[in-house]
Amino acid sequence: MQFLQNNLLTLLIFLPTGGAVLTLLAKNRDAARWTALATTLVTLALSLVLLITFKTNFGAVQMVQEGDWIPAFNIKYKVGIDGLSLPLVLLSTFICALAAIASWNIEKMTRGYFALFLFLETGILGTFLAIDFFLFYVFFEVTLLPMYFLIGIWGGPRKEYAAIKFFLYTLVGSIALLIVLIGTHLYTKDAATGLGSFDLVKLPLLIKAAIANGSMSMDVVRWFFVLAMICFLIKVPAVPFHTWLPDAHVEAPTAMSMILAALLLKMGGYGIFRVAYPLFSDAGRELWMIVAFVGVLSILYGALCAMAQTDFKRLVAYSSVSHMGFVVLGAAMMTKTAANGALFMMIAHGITSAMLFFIVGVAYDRAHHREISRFGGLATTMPVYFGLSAIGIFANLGLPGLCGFIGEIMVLLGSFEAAKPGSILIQSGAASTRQIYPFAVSACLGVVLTAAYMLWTIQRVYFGPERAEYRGFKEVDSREQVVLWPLAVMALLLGILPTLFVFSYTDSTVETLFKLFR
Amino acid sequence: MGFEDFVDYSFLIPLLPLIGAVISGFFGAKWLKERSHWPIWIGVGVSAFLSIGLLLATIDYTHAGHEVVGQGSHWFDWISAGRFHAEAGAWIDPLTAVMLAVVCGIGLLICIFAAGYMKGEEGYFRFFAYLGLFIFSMTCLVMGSNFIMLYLGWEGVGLCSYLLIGYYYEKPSARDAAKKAFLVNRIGDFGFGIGILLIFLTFGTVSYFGAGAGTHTGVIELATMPLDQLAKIAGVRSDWVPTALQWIPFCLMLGAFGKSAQFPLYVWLPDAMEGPTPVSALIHAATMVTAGVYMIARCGTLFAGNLAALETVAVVGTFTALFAATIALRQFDLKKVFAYSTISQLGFMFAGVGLLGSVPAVFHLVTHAFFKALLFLASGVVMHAMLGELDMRKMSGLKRVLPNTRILMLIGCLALSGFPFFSGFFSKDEIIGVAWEHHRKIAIVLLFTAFLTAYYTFRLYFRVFEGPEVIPPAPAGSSHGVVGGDVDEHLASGSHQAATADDHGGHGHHNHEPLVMILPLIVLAIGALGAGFFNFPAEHLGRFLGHSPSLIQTRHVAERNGIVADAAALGQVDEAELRATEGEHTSHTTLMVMSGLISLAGIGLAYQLHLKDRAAGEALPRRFGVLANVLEHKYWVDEIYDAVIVRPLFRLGQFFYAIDRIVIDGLVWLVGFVPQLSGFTLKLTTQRGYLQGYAGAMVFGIVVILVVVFW
Repeated sequence: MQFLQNNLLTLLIFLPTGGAVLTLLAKNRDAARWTALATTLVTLALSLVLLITFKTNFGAVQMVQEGDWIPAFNIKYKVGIDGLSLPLVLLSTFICALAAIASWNIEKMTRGYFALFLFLETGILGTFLAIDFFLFYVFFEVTLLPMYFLIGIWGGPRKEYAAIKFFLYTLVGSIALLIVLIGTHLYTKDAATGLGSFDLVKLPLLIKAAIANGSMSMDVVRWFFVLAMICFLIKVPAVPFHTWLPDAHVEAPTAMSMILAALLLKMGGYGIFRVAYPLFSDAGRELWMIVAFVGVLSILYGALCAMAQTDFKRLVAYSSVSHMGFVVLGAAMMTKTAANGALFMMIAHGITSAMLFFIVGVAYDRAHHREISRFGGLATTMPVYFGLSAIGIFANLGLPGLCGFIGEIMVLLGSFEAAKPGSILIQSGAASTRQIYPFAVSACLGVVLTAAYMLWTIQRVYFGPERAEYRGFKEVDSREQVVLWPLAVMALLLGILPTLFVFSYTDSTVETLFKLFR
Repeated sequence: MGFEDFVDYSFLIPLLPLIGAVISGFFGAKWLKERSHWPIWIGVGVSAFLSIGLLLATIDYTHAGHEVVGQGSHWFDWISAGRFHAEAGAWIDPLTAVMLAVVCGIGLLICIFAAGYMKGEEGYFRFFAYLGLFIFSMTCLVMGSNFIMLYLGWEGVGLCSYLLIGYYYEKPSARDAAKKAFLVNRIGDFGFGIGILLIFLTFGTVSYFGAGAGTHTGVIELATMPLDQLAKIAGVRSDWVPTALQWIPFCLMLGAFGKSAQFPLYVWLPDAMEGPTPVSALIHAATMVTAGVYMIARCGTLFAGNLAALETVAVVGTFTALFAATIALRQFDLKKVFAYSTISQLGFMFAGVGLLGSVPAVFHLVTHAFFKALLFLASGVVMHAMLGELDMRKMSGLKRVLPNTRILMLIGCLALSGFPFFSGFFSKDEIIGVAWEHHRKIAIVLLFTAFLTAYYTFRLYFRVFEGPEVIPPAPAGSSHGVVGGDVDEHLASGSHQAATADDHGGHGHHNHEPLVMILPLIVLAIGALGAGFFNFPAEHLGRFLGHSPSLIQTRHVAERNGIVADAAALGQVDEAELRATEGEHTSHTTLMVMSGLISLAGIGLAYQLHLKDRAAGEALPRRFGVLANVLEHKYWVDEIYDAVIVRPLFRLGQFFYAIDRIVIDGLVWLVGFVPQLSGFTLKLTTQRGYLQGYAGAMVFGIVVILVVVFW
């Protein structure tokens, strides 16, 4: 037990890699996919152990495991977990297990597919658990390659274009982050040892000290913040860095869309809360208006673009842009409520987006197209499918009692709270009440637009007279139900018991985080 | 069982219908089938029993000499993060008790009726599951102890309304109506949501009241405090509080206008008649649409200090009352007439709360719930018997075909038109009475509207039930859900409706008044006849409601702000007023006689034009061709919205998407073109080139950066 506790995080990260090796060695297709599924399920089970060992009110990073990696540059293998990462880790293992089931019918090069898939899971978990900045960067990049191939080989007709675009965008972000990585290391050189730091727990204080003693000018801090934000905003993705997402989604196989939306986008949101804001909080405070503008723009622009879509999957992709805008806004406002809301929004969006992409996949598997205007009457043809879709769609549009609502209302509450005297933005003089309100109020408009395009989708896809060509469609089968039901149940549980599932973990960590902001 | 016991077990009231809904929803399709109404009947039945028990217990409690009656019941912690806390729990006071009794009581009657009405429909189980879910949401709305619970119920009833309007989702008109209802409500909720956010900011809490009455930790109580004290508690600059308090009621009222279909957000309600008739009766007449009235009555303290907000509510209500009544004059569809009439009557209630007359407003809410549910269900019986036909131009003299329904409908019409001693007479008169005291102009408009109401109600009654017997031929491809006369739409709506029409139409025209449908109507008719005596001549309802802390404190706030509030209209007893009642009684009696005469005049005019001399009635609109045209097209409001809001928004979406495709992707292409050129040489040496090219570019880039940084 003690061994497990000490090595749990490392085990979690590399278990999928082990599974990937086994999958490659598998004799046939069946063995490969069963190995992969077993690996994701064991990882999921292992991650649930975290719930027992995690100390809820601790606030700081816990269960740390560290060792030297490249001593010459003070690079360590250091992993740990706190309230920011725990919900995301659980979401990752949960979604990956479901995505493995969703990938069940992959025909082409099954072994390769599942091996890359598991390799991807390692990258995702590593990103969420790394405490060393260099390690974080490595894992952050590691996810790039498997996803590139998964889209490029197993994707739709325009897969090469989509894969290249995905790669290109993310590459730009990576370079930006690399500069920040190297730069912070150089600016935090310890006088005695001559070594900089990559430790994400110590870096915020070291940077504060460097600013205080004048070795790091505010200009540099501002630049580093902007570069880090560009990297994470591309990943989130926020307008105007978002056009890779619709293409990647449209071409990606269903399971990869689920992982892309539910987990890869969250790496961007996580980076904002783990790297950009804690390290460069002064710049974050100063530049709040730009970040908030990007957030609100994403919310409204994404929603309006979603309204203009004719492809079901592209519509869901734009809806992701809109919803992730709430995460960006939540970060920009620098209030505890908004931060908690943004973290919740990431989990809620992880559930609903995975669900919606799978729902699109179900329709695509049967109809072999995704044109919204060619659908209709699916509620009559497949009533159970409609019922599950309705849960996903209403959770996505923020119906109270389902998960989307909690995230939205907390971010909006937090945004209005930022206008109060005593909030970080007001107290530091970075913003005035009058400046904050327009952002908060326009973000509220997003809620109306979301309802508009989501309901219009229900109306066109599910309602209306049954179409003759779809009459033979079979109802969602048991495999598809195994994917959809857990998501539906989680959407409901997160909406009813948000404190139990998320806030009890995030609250104390957000508290710790905000001590850095003052 | 005493009051406290009922409060402790209050969680059962929403829970049981929810359990019923879950059972019907999950087991209805396969196992329960045509028995799917049982879980709902039992769930809502027990809830209704509990609600009425709670009402009686609360009445007893007030009689036991408790002045302020209100108690919270904590169910569980819902959201708790940072400084924000919202519990799931109930607040029980007289206002809640009355609302719960109306929701569950009328809800039960309509659930019973629906079992007969919906018999044999496809998706029978689905209908009842939605009804159960609706009762759950509506009870959460009226009994929730904080604004987040209110919002939960508020959106929940919106969802159920959406699902039930779209019940015949294969019909394009039904699905359009469903979407419109949800969206228009969302526009209202936009304001409502901001209102709630501002409330949290200003008061630091979202609970209505503290743990017990008088602890002054809830929003409603805090709103009674002097501003500087409030600023200290909320931790905001004192100059900010007045601004927030100025805005909050306006934001909240936007939500109320959406949910309760007031101008300019009323447009969804007439279309909502696409839903099955029991839904129109329950959701779009008796309960959900009154949520706005309940909310304003509940948050009276937030409105009472703000004269501009109060006047806006009153004026919008009055205008809506008149506006909708004029449209109702030229509608030919039974349900549409009643839909506009509902909007108009809700306008009366808003005028009531806007003039700080919470008691008359809630009184009218109660009586209206009875008689409007009765009217809708009775027109449902007509529709059932006429195979889905609802156009009053195509039918006449149905009194011999539907004798029982005719009597029930007559009772409902008399109540709606304010015929003396029917329930609507008393409640409408009280609203006009308050208006007469405080705002003479509003009173005059309302009196005129009452005249129109009596006229259009009896225009309908005389056309449909009196005169020579005309029974319409079965309309092609019709079903219950068909509303309006658009034949093309009916034909286009596919095969499913033909099937449902067959279910009902297989046995041709017949006397269709089954007991399961008539019995609930009789109970409602008794209510429509007698509910007026709840508050007349002794003001039982008013005195009872007056024990609610919401109403008591509303009066304090109004008085402190120098806004004249009628004590009786807030259920309070004023010693000074008691002495002066002599004179007031005479003026009130005069008003009663006057409104009675107005109602009679309206009925008389309808009799003249629509029974005695129908030719004259038909000549009239021809003479005022333009006016009739304007009314028939409902002032073209839908068309204006479409041109001014819907289309531009849609265009904007397409415009943004074009920017995405052309501008942003164009830039991306440009950025990608440069490495591609440089990778071109690599491409010559390697076979495929793509990934390697970019990997090469990446390595090159990193080297450049490293060189730049370390140099």
